[in-house]
Amino acid sequence: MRFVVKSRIRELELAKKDLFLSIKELTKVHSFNKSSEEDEYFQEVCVSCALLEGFINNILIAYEEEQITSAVERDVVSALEASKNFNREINAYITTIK
Amino acid sequence: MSLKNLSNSLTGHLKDFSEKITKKTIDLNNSFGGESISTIRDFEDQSKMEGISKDLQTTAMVVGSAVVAGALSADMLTTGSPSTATGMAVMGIAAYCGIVAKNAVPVLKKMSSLNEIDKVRDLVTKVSNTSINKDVLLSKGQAAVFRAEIANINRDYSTSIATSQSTQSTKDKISRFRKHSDDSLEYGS
Repeated sequence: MRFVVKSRIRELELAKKDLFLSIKELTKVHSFNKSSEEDEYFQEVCVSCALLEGFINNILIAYEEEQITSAVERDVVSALEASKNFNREINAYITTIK
Repeated sequence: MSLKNLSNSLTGHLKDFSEKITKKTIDLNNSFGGESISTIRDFEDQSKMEGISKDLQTTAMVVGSAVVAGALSADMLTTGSPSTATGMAVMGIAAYCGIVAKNAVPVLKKMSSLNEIDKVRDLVTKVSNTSINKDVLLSKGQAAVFRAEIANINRDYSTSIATSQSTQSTKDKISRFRKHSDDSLEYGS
């Protein structure tokens, strides 16, 4: 069980890195001041990613403190799923505007 | 796919576990010095003890609220009211601890080239002390810069509080948050 958690945590760290790289790429391709509405949506995306990052950080801290409960294990699954969804959708959007 | 659809989609994913995020934020607040900080006044008193300036308290409350509420309402930054004060205090603490949008740092870098940072600093100083001054409305573009700027301010803050009279457990907690946030910044370098 411990090995499974460690593996999942590693997966989560990589997902978090991918998330950051995705938002970095999005920042590169976003045209600021094109329209205030677009800038607003852009910041909403940034905020959503920041919230997810905070959620992931909480999990990583729980792991470091060896406080992985069954509830945290469920959080890991949720965070992984959300991270993958985020990355897939951000990259899909980037592809459409390139 | 439009940027609007992307934003809505990500918000939808967040809603799936937004309750968990809120709970963890409150847990974090409760672990802050071992006290539950549930009002603006308590929050201010705690900040005063820690030697935190009024400006920094205010900006953290504003951005803490805005960032967390941002997934639900992008206009929170300009429409916040005293009725949200309790939530703002809780979220402000969360912002202190590094949940604030580190992902917005690349935005700051990009906007820096537009020489708008000074304008943001001016706006920060104009925000009122215990509530959001509705006369100081930020344009949507400025709000993005504001949040990014606050991310940097919070980094400075978390450094100062980690070296203040905080309890050891608080210092450890902030230290761990900073470590993970710094990891993210390294990805972006």
